[in-house]
Amino acid sequence: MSTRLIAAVLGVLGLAAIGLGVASATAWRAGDTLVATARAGSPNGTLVVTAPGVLEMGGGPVTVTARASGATKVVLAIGKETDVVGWVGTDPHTLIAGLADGATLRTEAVAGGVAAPAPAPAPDPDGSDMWVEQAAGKGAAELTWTPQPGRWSLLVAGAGAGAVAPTVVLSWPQTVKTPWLVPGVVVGAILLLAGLALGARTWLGARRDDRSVWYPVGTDATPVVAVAGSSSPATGRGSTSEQSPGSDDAPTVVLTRRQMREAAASVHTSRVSLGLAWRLRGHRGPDGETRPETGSLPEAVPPTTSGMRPPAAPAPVPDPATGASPRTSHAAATTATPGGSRADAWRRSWGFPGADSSDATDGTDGTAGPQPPTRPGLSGKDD
Amino acid sequence: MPARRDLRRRAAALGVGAALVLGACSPGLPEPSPAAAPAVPPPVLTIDQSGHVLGAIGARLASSDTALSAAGLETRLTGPALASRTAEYAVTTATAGAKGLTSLQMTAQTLIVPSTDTWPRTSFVVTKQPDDLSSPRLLVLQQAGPRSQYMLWGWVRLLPGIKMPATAVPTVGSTPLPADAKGLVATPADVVAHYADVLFNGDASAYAAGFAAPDSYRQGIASGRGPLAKVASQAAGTFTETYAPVADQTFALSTADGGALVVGAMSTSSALAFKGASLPVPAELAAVSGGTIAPGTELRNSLAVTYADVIAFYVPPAAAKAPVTVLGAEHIRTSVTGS
Repeated sequence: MSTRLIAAVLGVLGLAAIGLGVASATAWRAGDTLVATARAGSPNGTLVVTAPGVLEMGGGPVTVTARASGATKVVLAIGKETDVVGWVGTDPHTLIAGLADGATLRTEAVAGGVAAPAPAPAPDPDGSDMWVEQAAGKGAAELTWTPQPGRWSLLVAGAGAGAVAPTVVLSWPQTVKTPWLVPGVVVGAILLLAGLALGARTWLGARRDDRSVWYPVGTDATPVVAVAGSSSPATGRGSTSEQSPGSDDAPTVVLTRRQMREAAASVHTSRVSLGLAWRLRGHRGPDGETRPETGSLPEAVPPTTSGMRPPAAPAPVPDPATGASPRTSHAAATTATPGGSRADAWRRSWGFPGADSSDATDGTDGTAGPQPPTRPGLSGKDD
Repeated sequence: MPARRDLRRRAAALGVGAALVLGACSPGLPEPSPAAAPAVPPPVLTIDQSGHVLGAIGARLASSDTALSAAGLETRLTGPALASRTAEYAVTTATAGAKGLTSLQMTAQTLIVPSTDTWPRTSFVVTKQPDDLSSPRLLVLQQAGPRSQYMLWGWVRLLPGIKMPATAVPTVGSTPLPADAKGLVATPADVVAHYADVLFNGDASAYAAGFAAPDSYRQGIASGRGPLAKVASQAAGTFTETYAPVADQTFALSTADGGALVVGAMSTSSALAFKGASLPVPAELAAVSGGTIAPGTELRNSLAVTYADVIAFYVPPAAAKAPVTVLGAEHIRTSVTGS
């Protein structure tokens, strides 16, 4: 049971890993630019300075944008770290030290070294000979800086009366990598396959345990045919081969044509009239006729004729002479026809005893066969 | 059941591994990784920046020269340069151009840039030859503090025939030397002081041997004293001229051979006292009197003239045991008083 649980957990983990890997490359994929913002607090003066390396941490040309409210003059300047630090001196300022998260710059407030109040007009670094790059504007300024060897700092200042520290936005173009896509999908697929394999193994193992209660069943292609004459009811010649109701539970045996031929031949060779009763359910003969459900070995077939020519029995006619049930009368009608005289005829022609003696034969052969309750019209009944 | 237990263990290990892999699924934020702070500071100015500074100074000079007004000159000139240029404007104005301005070419021939991260910062520039075919100038640019601009502190006319010592290229930078730097045949401050003594005492100075053969500036100063001394003798008066280094106005940058380029400011004071005679004050002197002396005024007692001097030296390293060479000088009358 726990193995199945582990299999399920593995499968779920695998799907989750695949999903996370795909999501990291799609929904969670970072933008093509890394943009980070720093909002400096006014108590920290009007100056914002980046630590060396901050401008270069995005790995490419950085675009610096600074905005300040109102008519504040915004000045951007990039210079050597020592120059910027020297220019700022002991003024309170905000230091941008790095990234706090993917969109925010980490800032540190640096208190002024001297308690003296800042001069009324905020200091303006615009135009200093020390700057390598600079830009200024009213309310906003922007510049782009391509990394160079050395330690460089950005100085952002709000200048003029009532100036405040500008909000600084640094943006770098970045090459977005999707490092988790392939590992996520691969690991997920492995987990998923492992889970599936484990599950399949567990399931197959259960199947194997159940196999002990199954037994092989072999089927024989050859139907078992009761030997003719051994136990089949033999009735008298011309007698019906109708079986008693008690014999219905005997297995239905379908004979092949060959078997039928052989059976017929045995009848001829033994010159014994067989009252073998067959049940031929819906069996169509070669001539397309539907065989009667209950029939007898054709008696009128000439010996030269092989096969199973159905007996040309006349349509059953209920015997008005008897008050038997239709079924019984049917059986009787089968034989209580002029066919009976025909049968006597071929018996005679084959040297059998007469119709009267046939009863004796029937009596010997048909010991096991059920006797019809009434056999009206049979000549053999006369004995 | 060992097989099944083993299987379970394997599955559990797989799950833990997957959890670890997924747990490590957070790309790190880029961190600043600045270059290591260099052991030697980089040059204070790049070549482009130096060119920009020279251009700014030149623009300032050009506009002021046109107006012959010192107003606004202080934004880009300081020290002896500011005093000299202001005086020149006055003289030029007073003489209607007869006495012209010192031609200052702001195109660099050689940049000698200090490598430092402190202030003040002083750099030297050898300019190309001016249009008037006078000798190239050695400009001294100075940034007094981080919030100051680079200003023209002074200039000297390079003396004829001198050879500038080799200096480091501006992308490497030269080491600024303090006024009391050791390792030289004399400290920069001493060099200026000794030269003042030599100017005053001539070959009789104890330091005369420390300088190369009398340079043209020294010769010019000595010869300039002659007429005034003659006037003084004619009027039963006296003439004295003293040369004094200006305190803390000596700057030095190392040269390639371990020596130093030293530029110092000096003040020359000429005092003429006489009796029983009158001395009409020429316009160029009256112009720098600050209005105290009207042009054409006849002085009866005394005349005092002050000059702002800037002198450049090459000071060899101590091991060289070579004399100090005067590379150039400027000597501009900046004030006149008299009665």
